[in-house]
Amino acid sequence: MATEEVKSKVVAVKKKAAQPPKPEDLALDLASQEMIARSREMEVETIFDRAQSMKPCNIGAQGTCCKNCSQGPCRLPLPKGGIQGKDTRKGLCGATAETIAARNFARMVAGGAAAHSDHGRGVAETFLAAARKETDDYHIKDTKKLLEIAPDFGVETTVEGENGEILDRDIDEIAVEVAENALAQWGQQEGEVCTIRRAPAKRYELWKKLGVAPRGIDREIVEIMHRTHIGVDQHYENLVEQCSRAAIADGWGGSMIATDLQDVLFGCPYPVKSQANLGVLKEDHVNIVIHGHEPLLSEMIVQAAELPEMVELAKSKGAEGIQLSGICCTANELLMRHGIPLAGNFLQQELAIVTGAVDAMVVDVQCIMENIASVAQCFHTKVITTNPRARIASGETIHIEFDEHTAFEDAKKIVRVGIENFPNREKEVIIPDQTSDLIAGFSYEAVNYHLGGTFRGSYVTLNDNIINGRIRGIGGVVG
Amino acid sequence: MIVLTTGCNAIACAKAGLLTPESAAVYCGPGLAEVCETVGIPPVLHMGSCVDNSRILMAATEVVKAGGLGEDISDVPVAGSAPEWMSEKAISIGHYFVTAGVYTVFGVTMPVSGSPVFEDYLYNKLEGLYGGMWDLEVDPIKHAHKMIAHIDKKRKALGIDKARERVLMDMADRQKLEAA
Repeated sequence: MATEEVKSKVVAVKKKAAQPPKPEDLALDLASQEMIARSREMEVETIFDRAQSMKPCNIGAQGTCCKNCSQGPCRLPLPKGGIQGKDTRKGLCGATAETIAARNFARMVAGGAAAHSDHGRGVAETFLAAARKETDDYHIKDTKKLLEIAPDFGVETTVEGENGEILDRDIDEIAVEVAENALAQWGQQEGEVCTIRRAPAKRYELWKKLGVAPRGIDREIVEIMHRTHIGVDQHYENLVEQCSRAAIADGWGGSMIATDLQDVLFGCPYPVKSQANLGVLKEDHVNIVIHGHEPLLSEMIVQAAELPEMVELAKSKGAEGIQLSGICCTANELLMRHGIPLAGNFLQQELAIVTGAVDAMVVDVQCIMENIASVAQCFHTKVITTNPRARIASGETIHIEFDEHTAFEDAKKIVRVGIENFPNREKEVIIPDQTSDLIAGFSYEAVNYHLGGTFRGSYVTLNDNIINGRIRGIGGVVG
Repeated sequence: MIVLTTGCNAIACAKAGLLTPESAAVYCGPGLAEVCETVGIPPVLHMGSCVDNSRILMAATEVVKAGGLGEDISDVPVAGSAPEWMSEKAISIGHYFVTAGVYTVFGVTMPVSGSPVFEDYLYNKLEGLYGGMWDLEVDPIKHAHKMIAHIDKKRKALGIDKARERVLMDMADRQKLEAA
């Protein structure tokens, strides 16, 4: 490349860097735009700035970088002009692009299934503690759902009396047995994860035929890690087969058991009204934002924040009250069952702090950007980590560890940190005037009820409307 | 198309005002708008957090059990989507949707393009095994149309692709039907 050409390129790059994209080009959401602008004025760096300077790795984006041993990392990007003739790309061990892409894909499945399922395990452990009455903080709330799910875990809901009559079984006994059998699904080595039998019969039979019915939740994830180690599974179709076992163990196992047991502990969701976006923060209230994925501790925080002693404490600090709101899926859990408003989603976690109104951001696991701790340092916000699996080295965070046996006390400590921090707001509080009304809480049981009512609840109405063409079909839109 | 949603996408839909029953009259076709108004539900139903995607699986299973739309999830006019996926969890979710028999389109990117053979296996060949497969479409409008095209394919296979004439029946008509 000629020197002049290089120079002109450098100038072009500098010019580009001098004019970062406008907030309105980075987000459609008006609240986010306003906070991106504010973060720039205050020189607080967020993901929206880093996304400009950090360009994705081209080989990683193609899924063909292998760093599973020390001989590489081996990089197998597509040739510039595409593959001409035979694809001769190989890593040092001979792994083809197919093998490498499939290994990387499989490790993503393992990571995802592990995250959901370890969440499920935590719920199952808390459920077991509640069922055994080892904790005063959690109780079996939704006995109807417990009785519905018990047979799926091989637990009888009735017993035969002395004279052969059928009697209802003790609820606590059922709960303990469900808890033990649910928890056993993680460590099970053979057979199949029991909840996969909920799938339509034809689907279940197909899984059996293809040999992808998962044996145990942990086992299938571990096996992905084994197979993707150097020199093990070097057939992409065989790797995907293992992905299927782990993914089914997630969707129909770890995740499904998490949902089941959360519903029994905290109540099956039914439609509830609330609001979403950063405008749910309140300037004159103590704002505690709960962020992450699990409902276990946050359910306790909801109760703690409602205690008269806490409200009084907040008032003594000059606040009108305590406003809880959420980010990511902990937010969704609290919204579904309590109508707690949504402050925002993943990309708004830093922006919530940029309002200057967040007195405490409480995090548990998953999707928590390390940078919230750095953003918090530019404001008065206390970031509180609560899970032993998820600590943050950046910035200054407080760790108050959640224990299911002392959960309510832990929650009170956390709420107190938020309240005590209210008088420390230094920067001007700017809360975007953006909220949207919403109705959430559509568990599949709620949909059933809504489609037909208590006595004839069923999905027949939905099917009829799909058949007659009023509804074209169903979209499951997630992520 | 009625939408079941969870996770961060549900929050994005909330911010866009799609989680209110009133939004049906604004954004939906006459059929869905009428159903939403009658039942009193939003056209986009918030089913919970990302572990609650299991609720979507159960809803799809209930649809199969209710009858008239095939014997398996892969027969039902349903499509999955993660338009702005980000985490590894989404890949696991995508794969359990696919193995449940659901056509599943991702947006943004899929880190498999470096291997056209593997990509083809995920996007095409898996359909032969599971009746569901992966896809990638970055453009949101084309993304939605790919979902609609798959749903139409399933409607055709079920023989419900022709719009039916809606006939208002009075008692005499009903009696005639019963007599027949």
